[in-house]
Amino acid sequence: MILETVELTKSFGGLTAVNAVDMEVQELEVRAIIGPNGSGKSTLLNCISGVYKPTSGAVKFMGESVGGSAPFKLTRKGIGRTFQNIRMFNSLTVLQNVMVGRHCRTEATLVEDILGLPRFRREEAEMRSTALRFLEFMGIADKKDMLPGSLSYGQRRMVEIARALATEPKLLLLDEPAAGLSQTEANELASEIVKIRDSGVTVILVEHNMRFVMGVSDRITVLDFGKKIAEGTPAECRANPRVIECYLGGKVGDRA
Amino acid sequence: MGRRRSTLIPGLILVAAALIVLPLLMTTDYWRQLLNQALIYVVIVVGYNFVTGDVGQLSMAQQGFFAIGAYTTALLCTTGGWPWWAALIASICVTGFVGAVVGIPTLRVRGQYLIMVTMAFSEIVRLVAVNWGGFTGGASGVTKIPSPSIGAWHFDTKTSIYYLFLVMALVMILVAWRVRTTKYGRAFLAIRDGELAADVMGLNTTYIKVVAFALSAVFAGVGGNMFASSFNYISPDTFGLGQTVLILAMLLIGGEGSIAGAVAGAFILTYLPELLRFAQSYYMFIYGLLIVLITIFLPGGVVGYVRRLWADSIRPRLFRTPPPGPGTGGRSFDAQDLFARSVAGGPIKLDTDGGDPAVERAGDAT
Repeated sequence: MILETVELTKSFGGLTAVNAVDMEVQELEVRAIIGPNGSGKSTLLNCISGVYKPTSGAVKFMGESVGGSAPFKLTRKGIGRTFQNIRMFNSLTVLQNVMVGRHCRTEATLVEDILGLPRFRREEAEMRSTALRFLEFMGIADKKDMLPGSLSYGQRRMVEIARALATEPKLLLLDEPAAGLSQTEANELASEIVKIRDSGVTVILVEHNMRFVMGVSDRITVLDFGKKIAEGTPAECRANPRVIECYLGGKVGDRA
Repeated sequence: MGRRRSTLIPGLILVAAALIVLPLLMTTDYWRQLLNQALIYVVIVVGYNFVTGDVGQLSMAQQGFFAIGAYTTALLCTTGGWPWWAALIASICVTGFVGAVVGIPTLRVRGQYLIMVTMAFSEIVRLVAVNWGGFTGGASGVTKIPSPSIGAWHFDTKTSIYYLFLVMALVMILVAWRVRTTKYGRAFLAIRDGELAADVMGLNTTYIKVVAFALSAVFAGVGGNMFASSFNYISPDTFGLGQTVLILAMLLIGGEGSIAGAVAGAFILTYLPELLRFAQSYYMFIYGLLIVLITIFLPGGVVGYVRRLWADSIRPRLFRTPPPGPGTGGRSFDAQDLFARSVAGGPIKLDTDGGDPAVERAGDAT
């Protein structure tokens, strides 16, 4: 088991956005977290990646309790993530964006940098070649010298994922990766995600696009009003009356 | 790429020649003095650019570090009897250390709070200099600071100091350029563009901000050493709030976020008051107005404006290449291909011919 949340709760004032969620994610699975708007999916993701400090409960990453650690520490432990509204470093080129993702895996100090000592030079070359490799992996290496502002939304999404992969995550969190993509782009993304999983990275994604979710995930966790209401394979979730009820809003379960 | 290099080398030779001849063109010692002053500000503002231009944290502490660097050199060279170069190293160490120590608590706050905290720091430094009379010379300052000397070389004329300072400024610019084009420089810009995203990329943003702050402080420390040893006299009056505002104005007018901007700003604002002497009592008014106008009409400063002018109108006319499209920075053109097509006749329109790789790539977007 790579990630476990135990009774994870996050409240903002009187509102409990995530309510005692227990979730277990196995190594090398693609896990989707779905649920209607405001069901606490993004909040859950933010608690796992350290952006929010959980109100109570625990987040265990590879057996170690990490709830409330700063995001940069979690990234160094091996949790990478992307954002719902893509956050690029707009004054850096695509390649430089991904190279920033390598920064946390380098050790040279500022003095070594200024003097151009061997370790620094070796690391700088490694940052460049590794960043390029991840851009190639995501199929956007030809855009490496462009600024993010001149890329399409879908391309920026790919750069953002390449940048997260450059931090060498064991667990990759994707917040609505297919949002704003065309169905063709979403299909490409789905095959990239499978490739990422096959390369040894566990993926947790929050997503609204059901076709995308059903196609890409191994297991699905369904949230409603901050509580986990179902969990299982895509087929199981699709057949679950509580899931249908919360998505259609009716009392389908009662009639069934 | 080939042509860019072929214009770069003669350009550099031209600039070097100009810099060497410059003091010989100045008619009075006073103007040569200003030249040295401009180089001091170049070092200070290039350093200031790291924290305020690159990382985007508006700091008012640069003048405090400038004062610490100047006093360290002044006291070590007078009462301490240290040689100039040893005092320079001491100024670097002291300001770097103080920069880190002050940066750790202050950089947790940002925006107007950071402005207040750093301004308070600079004021405290000045007040200590005024009130700790037994050590710092109090309000009357430190006098008879020796001019720079390395072994048997004494830099005691304005012109010789200019050449020493020119080398020092170039070394500091080189250091800044190295930092700017490698991983720390990228991390600085990443924090400015999105602190949360930088954090999630595994960057310890507080640590990197402290690095930028300490680095800025070191540059101010070097500037302080240059100031103390070339003016031979310092007093707390030099390090008032006006100095802080001047350093900030230099960065904004030159163009924040760029080394060239910092250099340009330092020279412009050192010489502007002299060029406005004719206006006599109206000079402060004109000076202020010019600063306001530049800030409003030239976002990105003078250097930002020149760059846009170069890319949009001078370069296309000079080399007959089209102005770059929006968002495609740093493109290179195949000069030979361009030449072949200009011989073949007809208008050169790379965008439609598809000859420019960057445009071509943008075209095949989904």
